[in-house]
Formats: sequence, C-alpha cells, structure tokens
Amino acid sequence: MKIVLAAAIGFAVATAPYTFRFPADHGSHPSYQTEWWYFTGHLKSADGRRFGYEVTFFRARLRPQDVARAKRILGSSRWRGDQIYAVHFALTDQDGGKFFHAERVARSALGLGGAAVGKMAVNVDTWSLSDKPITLHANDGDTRLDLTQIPLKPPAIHGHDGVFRKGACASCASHYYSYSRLRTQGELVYAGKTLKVSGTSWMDHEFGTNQLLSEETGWDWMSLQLDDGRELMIYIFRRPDNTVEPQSSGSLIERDGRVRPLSLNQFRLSATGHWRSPQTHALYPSGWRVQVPSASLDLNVTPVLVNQELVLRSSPSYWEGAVDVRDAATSRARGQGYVELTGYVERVIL
Amino acid sequence: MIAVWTLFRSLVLGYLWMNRLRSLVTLLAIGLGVALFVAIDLANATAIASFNSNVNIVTSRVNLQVLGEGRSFDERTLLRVMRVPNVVQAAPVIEDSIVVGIRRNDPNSGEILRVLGIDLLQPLPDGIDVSSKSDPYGVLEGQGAIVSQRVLDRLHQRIGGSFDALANGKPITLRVAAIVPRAVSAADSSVVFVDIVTAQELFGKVGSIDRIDAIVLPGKLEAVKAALEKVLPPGTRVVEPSTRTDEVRRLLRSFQVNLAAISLITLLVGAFMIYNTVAISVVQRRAEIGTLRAVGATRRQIFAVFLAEGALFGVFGSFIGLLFGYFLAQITVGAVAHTVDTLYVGTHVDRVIYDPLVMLEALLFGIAVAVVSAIAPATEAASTQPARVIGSRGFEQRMGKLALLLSLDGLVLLGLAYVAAQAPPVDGLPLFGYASALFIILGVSLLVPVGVIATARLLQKLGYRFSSAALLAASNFGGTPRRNSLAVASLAIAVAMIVSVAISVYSLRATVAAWLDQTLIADLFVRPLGVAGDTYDARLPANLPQRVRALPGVAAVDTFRGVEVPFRGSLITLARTDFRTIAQRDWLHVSGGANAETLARTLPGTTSVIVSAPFAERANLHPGDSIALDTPAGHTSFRIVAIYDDYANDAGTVMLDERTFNRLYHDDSASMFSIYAKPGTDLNALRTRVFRAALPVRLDIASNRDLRAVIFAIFDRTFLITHALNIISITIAVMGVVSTLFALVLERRREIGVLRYLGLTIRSVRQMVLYEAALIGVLGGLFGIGAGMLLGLLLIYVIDRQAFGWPMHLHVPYWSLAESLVLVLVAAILAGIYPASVAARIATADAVRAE
Repeated sequence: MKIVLAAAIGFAVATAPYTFRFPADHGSHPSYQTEWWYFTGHLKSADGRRFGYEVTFFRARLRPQDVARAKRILGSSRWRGDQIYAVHFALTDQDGGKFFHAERVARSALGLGGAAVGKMAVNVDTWSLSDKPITLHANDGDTRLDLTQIPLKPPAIHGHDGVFRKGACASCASHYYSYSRLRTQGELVYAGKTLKVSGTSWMDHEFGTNQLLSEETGWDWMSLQLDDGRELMIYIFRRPDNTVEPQSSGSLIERDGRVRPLSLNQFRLSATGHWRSPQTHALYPSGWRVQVPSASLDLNVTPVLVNQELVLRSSPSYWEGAVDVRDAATSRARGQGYVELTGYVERVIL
Repeated sequence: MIAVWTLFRSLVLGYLWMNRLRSLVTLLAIGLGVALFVAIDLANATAIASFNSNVNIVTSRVNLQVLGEGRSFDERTLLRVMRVPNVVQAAPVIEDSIVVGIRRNDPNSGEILRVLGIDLLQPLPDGIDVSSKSDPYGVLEGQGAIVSQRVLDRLHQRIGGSFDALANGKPITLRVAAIVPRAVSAADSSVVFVDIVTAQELFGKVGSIDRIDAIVLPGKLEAVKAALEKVLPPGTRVVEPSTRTDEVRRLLRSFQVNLAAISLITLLVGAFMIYNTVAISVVQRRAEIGTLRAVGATRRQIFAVFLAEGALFGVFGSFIGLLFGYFLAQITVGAVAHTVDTLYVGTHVDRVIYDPLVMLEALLFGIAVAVVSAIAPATEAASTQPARVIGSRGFEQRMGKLALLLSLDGLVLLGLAYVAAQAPPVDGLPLFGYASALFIILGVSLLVPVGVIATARLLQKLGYRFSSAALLAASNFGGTPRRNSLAVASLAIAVAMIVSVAISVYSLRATVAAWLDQTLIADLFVRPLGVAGDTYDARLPANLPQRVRALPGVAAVDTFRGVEVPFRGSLITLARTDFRTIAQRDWLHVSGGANAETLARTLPGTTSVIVSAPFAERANLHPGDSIALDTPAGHTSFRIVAIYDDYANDAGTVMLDERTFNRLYHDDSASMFSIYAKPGTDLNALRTRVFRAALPVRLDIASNRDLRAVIFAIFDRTFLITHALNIISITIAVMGVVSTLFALVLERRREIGVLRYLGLTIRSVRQMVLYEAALIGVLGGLFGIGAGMLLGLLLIYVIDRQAFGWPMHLHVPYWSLAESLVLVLVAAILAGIYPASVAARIATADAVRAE
C-alpha cells in the first residue's frame, strides 16, 4: 500500500526556532508527521569497482486520534499502531552500468519497525541504522550492504534558526541537518562476491509536518561534495506550472564546517538534458549546470548512470542517483554528489 | 505405385462425403467423448487452480510457508522466521471466512467469503490501489476491506461504502476500501483482503496468526527449511506451497479419478462407433479395394488409408470435442466445484481456467483412441485379395463361428474381471477395480454377437406368427450380426454405466440412511451461522455450551471441535469429543475394536483414539495400531482402540477425548454442539431459547430432520454430475444406433426395393426398420443391465470401498432399472425413425432396375 498521509491534525509542526541538541536529535521525533534518515554515498571496492548507494529510513505517523479511537472501539491487536516505518536501499554499479533497489515497510508491531527517541537507532525488519559508530545494514536477496560511518565535520544545520522553509505557509517547513562528509567503510555483497568497500557519504536527517503546500508537486535536491573540501546542498521545490517555489534554498558548507545558507537568488540550477523512464514513463531532468557566483562555483553535474530510478510499490517512485561533478569551463573533475528528483511520477504529499 | 494420398482421396474422402450424415454422427460421437474428457479435466484443473490461487494470491514468489497444525500460532513466530539467514521476506497471514448477503428470512442465503488477513502496508498485488482514497487509516486498521467487483455488485456496494457480515456468527461491519484487481479475482472472486489488525480483532485471533508466507533465496530452500525446523515452536510446520496443494489434491483425488473413469468409458463408446464406421466403409468398398490391389496398391497402403480414415475422424472429432468441451466445462466446473466445496475445501470458481495442456492431452488422446479403433477394420481391408470381388456380406457371413470365439474371449475377460476385483488398491486408488470394470465392459461386449445371432434365430422361428415386417427385421438383424452387435454393445455400455451408477448410488444412499438412523440422535445441532460445510474450524463463544446446558428443556449438550492435521501427505481431522457420554447416547456406530461401554470407561483422558472407517480402510489401520501426529505439544502417538462408521466425509477423522485434546491444544472452545432435549420439550421453543441465548452471535440451529434433509441434499448434489454423464453417454450410444441402422438401410436399398416390388407396403418397410431398432434397444438394454449389475457390484464392493473407504450393502433399485430399460428401448426406437423414413422413401422402380 502506498501511504498517503491525512491532514495534519494532532502533530507537532516545525515553525518555532529550534535548537538542535546532539546526539539526542539524531533520534526519532515521533510527534512530527514525517521523518527520515538519508544516507547516500560513493564507494570503491578494493579491486577498484565504483558504486553509488542510498539507504534511507522513513518514519510516518498516522493521525494519532484515529488510532487511539480505533483501539478503544475495535480492539487491541498488537499490529495496531500509529507509526509506519519504511526503508529504501539502492545500489548503482557504476562500472557494470546496473542499478539495483529494494524496499521494506513495517509497523511497530512486534518490533518489526522502530525508531528510538534520543539516539540514532532505526530498524525495519532486519534492516537497521544505529549509532556509535553510525552503522547501516540492508540486505535483499543476495545483495547486502554493511557500512560504518565516521563524520568528518559537525552536523550542518540548514535554514535559519533551525527551521528549514519549504513553502509559503508558515508550517511548510522542517528541522533539517546533514552530516555533509562521512568517511565510510564496510562490506558489500553483490553479484555473488563479498567486497570490502570504502568511500565518502552524506547523511540527511529531517523531520516535520505538512511540509509541502498542495500546489507543490515535488522537489529537486542535490548534495555535492567538492574536492576542495566544501559541500553544496541545493533544495528546489517545484510548482505544477514548472515554476520554482521562492522559498527554495540551499547551503554551502565551508571546509571548516561553517554553514552558509543560500537563498534562491544566490544560486542557479538549470537542467542540461532529460531522460524518459521506460518503466514509469516519467520525464526527468538528467544533467545540470549549477552556479553559485558568491562561491566561485560553475559546475556541470552528470548522472553516472541515466537510470537510477527507484520504482516502488509502497511509496511514490523517484529518481535518486550518483552524479559526477565537473568544472563547467574546464571539464576538470571537481567532486561527486547525489541528486534526488521526486514528484515526476506522482505527486508527493508530506 | 499409387500414392497413399491418392488412395485416401478416392477411397475415403469421397465416400465419407457421400455418407456425410453417418460421418457426421461418428464425428459427433468421438467429439462428445473428447468433450467430456476435456470438460472434466478442465473442471478439475480449475478447482485445483482456484485453491492454488488462494495459496499464492499475495505473491507468487512465496516458496516456503509456515503453517499451524490445524490452529493459529503465536504471531511472534514471525520474528523467528525473519531472522533465519537467507529468508528474504516473511509475511503474516490470517485465514478465515465471513458470510455476507444473508436475507432476513433465509439464513442459508448468504455467501461465504474467504478472508485473508495480511499486512496491508506491504506491497499489494498489482492493481490494488488504495492510495487514491486518502484514508490510509480506514484501510489499515479501521476495518477496511478489499473486495472483488462481483461481491460488491452482489452487495450493491461501491468503494467507500460498508457492508454487514457475520464472522463466526458474530455481526460485523466492513468498509469497502478498494477492489480486488481482475487478475486476482479471476481465479477466486470470493477472497476478501483485510489488514492483519482487522483480521485478528474480527476473528478473535489477537496475538496469533494462521500462516507465514516466506520468500527464501531459491538456492537455500533446504538449508532454510532445516534452520526453521529448529526454531519453530511445536504445532507449526514448514512446507513448500506445493505440499499444501498436493494435500488438497490428494483429498480430491478419488473423486476426480472416478469422474475421469466415467469420461473414459464414454470415450470407449465413441471408439466403438469409429470402429463401426470404418468397418462398414471397408465392407462397402471391398470391391474397390480389390480392384485397387489388382492395379498395384500394397497391403500397407490399404492399411494406411483406413487407419488414416480413423485418424481423420479422430482429428476432426477431437477438435469438435475441444469446442464442445470448452462450453461444457463451464457447466461441469460449477458441478465439480460445488461437489468439491461441499465435500472438501472452500473454494469459489467463477471462471474455467483453460489449461492448454489439458486441451492438447485430450486432442492427442482422442486421435489415439480413433486410430486404435481403426486398426482392426484396416487390417481387415488390407487382407483383401487383389481383384477378388467378394459380396459385402462376406464380412458378415464369417461371423457365426467368429461370434462363438468372441464369446469365449468374453468369458475369459469376465474371469479376469473377477480376478482383478480381488486385488488391493494401488497407492489408495482402486486401479485394479477400474481394470476389472474395463474387463467387464469388454467381456460383455464380446458376448453380444452370440446374443444377436441367437436372438435373430429365435425370432425368425417365432416371427411367422407376427407380421412380415417383424420377420424381415429378425432376419436382417441376424443377417448383419457384426454391425448390429456393435450397436447393441455401444448401447449396452451406456446402459451399464447408468445401471451401475444407479445401483451404487442407491446402495450408498440406503446405507447412509441406515447409518443416520443410528447415529443422528440428538435433537438440535448448533453451529455459528454462515460457516462452510462440515467444518470443525468455526468458533462459538467459549461459555455458550455451558449456558445452553442450563436452559430449561436441555438434557445434555455434546460439543465438537476439530483441527486439520497432515497425515501421510493428506489432511485428516483430529476431532474432540466427550467419550464419557458415548455409551449413554451412542451416537457413534462403532464397527470394530472396543465397544461403546468399554470406550466410555477407558478412553477419557488418554491418548487412545477411535478412527473413522473410511480412514482406517484407506490407511490400512486396525485397532491396536498407533498413529503419530504433530500437535502443539509436540510429536504425539495415538493408539487406535476402535473404528466407527462415517459416511459424512472420506477425508478421515480421528476422535480424541476432550480432556486430552484440551491438554494438547490448550483450546476448549467449541465449533459446534448438539443438544439432547428432555422428553416432552417443545423443540421449536427450545430452538428459539438457544438462539436468543447466543445473541448477538447468530446461530445456525438444525433439527434432526433438517440436518437429515441437508445431508441428503448434499449427497444428491454430489452425484448430480454422474447423472449428466449418463445422459451424454446414452446420447452417444443412440447416435450409434442411428448410424448403424442408416448404413444398413442404405446397403439394403435393392433388397428393400425388391420387397416393395413384391408388395411390401411403405408402412411395413417403416415397421421393419423400427422393429430392428427395437431389437437393438431390447438387447442393448438386457446386456446393459447384466453388465451394469456386475459393474454395480464392483463399484460397491471394490471401487467405492477402496477409493472412499465407504463400506456399503447392496440395495438394487429395481424401479430405476425397469425405467432405464424402457428408456433405452424408447431411445432406440426413436433412433430408428429417421433411417425408417429413409427406407420408406426408397423408390421401387429405381432399386429394381438394377436387378
């Protein structure tokens, strides 16, 4: 079943200034309607094969008053609960030109799904995320990924005063921070081989309620890790007429970890190509030019593989893929990144 | 050298066209045989497929299942399964049923729907879309249900609406959240999906599940199975989905094999007709064959040509059969599904699944039968000497001696039939019994020629006293013994089928009636309303039997509960009963081992059991033997102390004392109970009191008489399909009579012409043919009844006993035997009408000119 959330009554909203406290804020914030822990990164095996990966844990809450009422009237099955957990796992085999993805969904019954409050510990079935050190585990069939992550910079908090705006309405916002550079090590079981892998990852943790306005259709998001030690995050919200929501923004994370918020007028993002999905027939942008004049950045961003679309059954399908970053003028390699494109197949409601 | 094709064209095609009516009748006969074969096979395949679809409805990738031994198990078992390495996914399933659409004044008007409680959060089968209705909560945990379009139409509902139903008799309301996609509902439109929360709460299964569907890395199946067996609690078992299907298939097997045997007999009648047709065509073209041989056609070529004629009938007839079968299957599938449903598992079949393999099998089989039936006449044709023109009668005249030889063979076959009937079943199937049936049919058929010749001689002597038409008929009858014998034999086989089925069904019915008189002695029988068939799986409120015992007018209450457990690859019922009362009330007819008094004294609280006679018969179990079954308390051995008669189901029942059952299963609930009223109690009033005591749970309360009527209704419905088969086979046989008479009339054109010239009236010509038809009818009927009696005995004492384990006593339905004799006579005379009118039209002058 694809979960579409009902009107947000009875949830906490991300309007007031928020002071993040770590490690507590790595944990779950169950009073908000949605929350996710997003890991993307680039890995290299000992024998030189390159992989992109995504492991994302989601939490969504059903209207608590409905659940409480039903429990009172209908019964006490342990499967009744107001939190739903999901996880997506994708792997881009850059050299083999293959893309693999899988999903799991669970509710809190029997501990099948869960997210701890106060510390980073999320699980869906046997897939898990835990802290100290940050550890990821996902496996589907004979593909398995086990990673540990060491943050190289402190958490980068996006937006202003701990509030990251996503639209015109006051509540259209979230609390959002990233680990913009994590050193990653671990093991990948893929195509019958067990590979030692290492590389660099990015983590997003975001929670909020009612984040998107009904007139927003989805977003284009990218995280670029530049070879000069800086990182760039861009988050564009699209409206049905293909215009960009003025609240869209980004962040530039300096070498020392300082975060410089970027408003829409401080950067430019334009698609340089398109790709039509053979599975969902959605037309995605594919390739971008990114300009941040104040940071002297003029970059070309290119997918390492055009088809990195997650066609999902338990949530809307989207494109999430590893990208190459090159200098627009010299075509010199400048870094690597990940791009996320949602709302091209069906509208995303948060 | 003449090409076979040229021969074929000149000898066969032209001839068949000239005799197109007879060709057509032959085609139809083989077609009907094949059609029956196809229809029954498709119906069986569909019944199995619809059961399969229930197993694999959520995802076809499920390759391992964890099942409870006849009852739900702890939902936390799911975690143990998930944590086993190489288990890719594991999903909990709850299986139960509800009944919908009960009209106010007719408690039996509802439809039983199978409910699958699954984790609706998980990806659903393609096409189920519940996201467009923005009420995930209602679907997930608020009694939302996913229902097929057919059921929605029946309930006059649409998405967003709600409908009332009964779950274990308890009134509930479900909301329509989405429609089951056609791909799923096509196989079984009676399936309703609800969330596991809804299922647990509606069916009182909070904390437990009925099944776990797992997807396991295909290469690791055995390893995972072994690992699971270590971590699973007692009372659960790991199976591959096919195991379960096989268990059900095994349950249905006897029933299906019996149907298949009947369709084969029908095809045999078709084979007789092909034999007849080809034989006649060989006789009629003997002169041409002789000429062709003289100009260089070899024996082999002639043989090939007539074999090809048989094959031609086979090919076209089988195609016609496939077409008929296609439509016929839609009728039989209902009948089979219904029978299967009342006898065994709950399935719902909306649509025939046209398995191309079944079609191909039937096609090849039909052709093979046709070719084989043509071998004898083709050999006959090939033996023709070049250019030696022999009168067509030559073929018939050698019949006298041959008939004696054949009847000797026939007697030998009957002897073989007797020997085969003594053999034990093979793997639970009465294969030797079927062989014996075939020997009886062939044996009696071989006796027919002698009968025909003797009858003809006798009648020729007596004929003078009647009319010239009768005399002529008798002489014709004896003059072409071979063809007439075939017509008589075909008819006899059809009659034998009807008679034998009538005898066995009548005997079984009488035996069951006697059994019911002895065992059905309680006054009221109570179970939740809307529970399928003979199930022990329903659950009544726990304290209901106790409350009913306290009602005025109630002398005693016996409760029943049972679980389905696997035993030697099939399923049997382990039922709970109170053995202390067995002697007082004597509702069991103990036929072997300890008697009721001893059982009442020694059985309570022990692991000794009594088993049903069909089960004992088929599993070859005797008092003193032990059987081992898996229970939640682990592997348990049960000692058999007695056998009791049971005609209610042939799947097998093991009766265990209630104290032992409760100890092993931690389950003291009841699925049904029976009430013994105090003498003089008004049963209708008592019934109302019981009904009220259970509210809001709705009960289905049957009086002794109601239940008896229901049992016989089920019984008669079960055998309905055999009646349909009878009608078809007699139709084929009658077609054979038409074709034989028609051929004979054409062949005797000149003779009839001369007779007319000599003054025989048109009316007499007509009568002559009709008399001959009547002779075929009478002889067919008599031989048929003879063979039918033998087959009936075989069915009662060998086949049904071995297949179903039902011990029966012979009861001959004399009235229906007389009826079928009259029926076949009338049918034969009717079959004579058309040939008679053709004969009557033969112009005197034309025919005589040739002389």
